[in-house]
Amino acid sequence: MKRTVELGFFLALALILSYVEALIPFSFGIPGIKLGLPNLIVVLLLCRNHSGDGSLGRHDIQAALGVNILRIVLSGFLFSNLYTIWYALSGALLSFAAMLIGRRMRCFSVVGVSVLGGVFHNIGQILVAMAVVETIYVGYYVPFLIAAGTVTGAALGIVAMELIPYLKRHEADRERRQ
Amino acid sequence: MKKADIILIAGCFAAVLILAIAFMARHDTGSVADIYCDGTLLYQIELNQTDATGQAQYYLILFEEQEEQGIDVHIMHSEEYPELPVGRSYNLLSVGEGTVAMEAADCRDQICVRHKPVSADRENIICLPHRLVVEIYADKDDEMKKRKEGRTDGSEEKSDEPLDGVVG
Repeated sequence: MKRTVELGFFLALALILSYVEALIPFSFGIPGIKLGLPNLIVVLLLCRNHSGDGSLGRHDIQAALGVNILRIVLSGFLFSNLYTIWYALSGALLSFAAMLIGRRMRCFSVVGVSVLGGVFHNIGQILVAMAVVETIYVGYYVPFLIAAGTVTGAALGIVAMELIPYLKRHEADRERRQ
Repeated sequence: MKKADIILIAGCFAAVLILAIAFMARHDTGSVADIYCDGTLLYQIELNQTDATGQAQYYLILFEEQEEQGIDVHIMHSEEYPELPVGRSYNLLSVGEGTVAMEAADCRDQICVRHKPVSADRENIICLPHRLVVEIYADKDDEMKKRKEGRTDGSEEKSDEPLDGVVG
């Protein structure tokens, strides 16, 4: 029950960030590039138990993946449409896989995991765009996509890095009270 | 932050630099603009016409949904800015001095309209909601293009099936 409440809270937060992102006119004139604010929540869920041994439990993966998929479906229905859900889902799943691998490798901190997520999100989106319009040559965009993914990923990673101590303190407080 | 993070970020920027230089190295100006819808070549615009007076030319692309037959596309050429249709999907291209720009469109995201004008070999403007691609080629008989046309030939064979006429 405690876990349900907690995940609901994270999901709500991710949806608010989706809304904030929809409000900011953040465009480089290149399709596929986004700030990726909601990804902050996924990064937090993946990396909050980044303790000394760096272990990552099955529950953490389930929680992060569940919140990731739900926030895309829900924000898709709330702020855009069915097509956008498919684009967003492909980008998000590729980025999730990359972040999971990065997290498992244990050599990256939160920032590295977030950069991987940003870069692969953009690459996933351009792959779908390629499949839809059947143009072989979208390679032109790839440098922009990697650069944007790195910058936004690093920025969000630094935010996550600053937030994780607060989450941990909250967790410790709660355990003490019980 | 760990050492691996810094290496990852540096590696990403190095990749960007290498790719950017690689693309810049073969920056040829285009001579023809191809218009594709759903991967099928619809029209070719010559970019360096000899009678060019420096005046921009306009190409209005109109989409019409057909019952059971997918999408019907018309392209209208005009010398001056045409009147934009109401109640029909459209994209308006302008061509002048070797560059192609998307002037207006009624698609929902307007990404194609915000795209910068294209002029170099293999640059393109894509309107995803209308499944429209405008691509520049330096050379009419480009190898990459032939491969793509080979592919559209293949898809034309099965175009007896009705395309789902979803136009943004």
